Amino acid sequence: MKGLLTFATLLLLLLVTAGPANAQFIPGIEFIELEEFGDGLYAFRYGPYRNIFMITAEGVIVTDPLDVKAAKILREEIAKITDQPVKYVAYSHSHWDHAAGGQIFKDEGAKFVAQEKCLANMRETPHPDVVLPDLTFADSYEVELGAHSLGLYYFGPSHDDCMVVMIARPANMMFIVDIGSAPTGWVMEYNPTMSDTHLYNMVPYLKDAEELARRAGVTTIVSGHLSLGFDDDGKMQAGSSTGPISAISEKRQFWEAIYAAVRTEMVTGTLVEDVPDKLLASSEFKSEFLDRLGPNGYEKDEMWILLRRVGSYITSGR
Amino acid sequence: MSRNRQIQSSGHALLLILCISFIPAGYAQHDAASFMAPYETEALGDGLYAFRIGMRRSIFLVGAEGVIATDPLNVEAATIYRQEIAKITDKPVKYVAYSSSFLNHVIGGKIFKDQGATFVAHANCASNLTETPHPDVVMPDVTYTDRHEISVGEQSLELFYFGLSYGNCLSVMIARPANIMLIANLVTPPKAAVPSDPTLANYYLHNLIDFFRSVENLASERGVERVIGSFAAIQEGREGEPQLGPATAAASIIKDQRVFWEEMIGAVQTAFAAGAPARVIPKRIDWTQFSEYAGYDERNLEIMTRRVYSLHRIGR
Repeated sequence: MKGLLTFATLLLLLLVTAGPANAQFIPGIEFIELEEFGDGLYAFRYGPYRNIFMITAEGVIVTDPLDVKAAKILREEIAKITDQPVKYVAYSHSHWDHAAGGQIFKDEGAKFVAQEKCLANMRETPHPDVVLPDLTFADSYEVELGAHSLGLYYFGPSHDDCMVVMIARPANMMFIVDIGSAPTGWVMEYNPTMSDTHLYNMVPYLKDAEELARRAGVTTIVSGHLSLGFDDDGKMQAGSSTGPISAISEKRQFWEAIYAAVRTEMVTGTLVEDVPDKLLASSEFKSEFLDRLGPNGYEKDEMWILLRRVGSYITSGR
Repeated sequence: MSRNRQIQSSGHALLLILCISFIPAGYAQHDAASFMAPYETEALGDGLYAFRIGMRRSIFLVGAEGVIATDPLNVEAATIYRQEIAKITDKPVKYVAYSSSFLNHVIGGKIFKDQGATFVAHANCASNLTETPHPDVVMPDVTYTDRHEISVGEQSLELFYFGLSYGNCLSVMIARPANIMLIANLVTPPKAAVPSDPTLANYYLHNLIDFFRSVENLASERGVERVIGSFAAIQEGREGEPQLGPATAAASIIKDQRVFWEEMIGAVQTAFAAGAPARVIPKRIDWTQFSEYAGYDERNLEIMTRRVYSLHRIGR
């Protein structure tokens, strides 16, 4: 694959809230995709969004239901594999575009699990299609069904203030949503204004995720979003749902590099509002950062916004 | 992308919120424009003063028992700030009140700490400053959750917290007996404005309208007629020449700024509800409806839609 499209570009190509449920939404790419990873672990993709679920002899563990339509289709897909009930739904974080739609699982008795700040967020900004968590935790939680488990790990604010990474066992794959991507971490951010994102903790968070993976012997991640790329003939194709654990390190390096570039520029006396133009015109920034994103990894206007946002972080400390 | 920094004329006296520096010591500071003093202290009456350095402002209250200062801004600014206070009184600074926890406002307080000042902030600010420490930031000695009052005799400063707004610990303050309200970051006299940072870093949009309504209610209940912000603005004079805008504005600026946000959030909501993807939304909005706001900049407004879109799509 020659390069990866940004998720922002991907969303420009489709209406995520109105995607056809049974058609190709990009030529050659189905709107819905089910993948089996082994050891009872599956990935379900609905347009650009993806979750994972685990089939066990004692029930099913589902992650982010995405929305009402997606959850209904997911339930049908699970039913094709097992007649076991969904026992747990685990939220990756509190944002509606991932957490909505769980009622269909609640109706069959599933327990909903999330980091405790997600519950506070969901109460503060309620959505009619978001089921509130039944079980919350502070640092980590293990959802167990027989020999299978889903570990939920919290490392502080990142993209919202309750995001967790998950490890599905025994498959031993890490599910990471919004703050990392597969197959590589060198991908432009979907929304460069970094809505509800706590930039000051992104590097420590990703370092903690890397360390967790090292301790747990995890070598593969599953991404919460679809990546797109091009083959050698220039035809668009879906990127892999999985990638090496180094993709998390790459995302951490992405942030370290962009923070360093902005900070260095500001130390030379450049005003925060002038930093984006200066960096985008810099051959050094191009070789140290932009080139690593690849030819499809960034758009200049989008990068301008991200650099301005990082400038605010450097100046305000948050 | 080439950024257009020209001021958009609305046919009225123009107002420019200068590309405001939010920059702590160690980074470039916005110098005062050539037509204005690099710093100045303005008496607002009843013991209340506004200290401006470059494009930033803090306020201080001089009472019989000492001085209450707000945000020290940075090390260099705080040194001048202290000198300016000393020109008015030889009384010590008894209290320093932080408006928020952002480094561009709260760095530099040690000069006041050294003379025994007690530092006051919302409890969330203390948590933030613990989480993201800076060597030149003095930690608050006293924290509060909803309301707190400090006084130096007849003069007092009342601090109020209305939830998430610009950051998670912004205090609205009322200085008495002047009865002037300080609203840092979110309001810049003399008129409602388009924010200078189009990425809306640190804005909690989901509570912003409620926040403004709470502040409006407070101003009404307390009979506040004048509001001061934490930044200066440049406006055009009669001959079109740039001049420093006034430090204060009528309290109606609070409602006007709330209306700006309602219009912005509403415009994006309309396009979002019609199914427009995030990057198409700016093309669906008639930006001329915002042309009367200070700092009107269509490109900035377009960027803001990306942030506002998230409020509708992800809830925050």
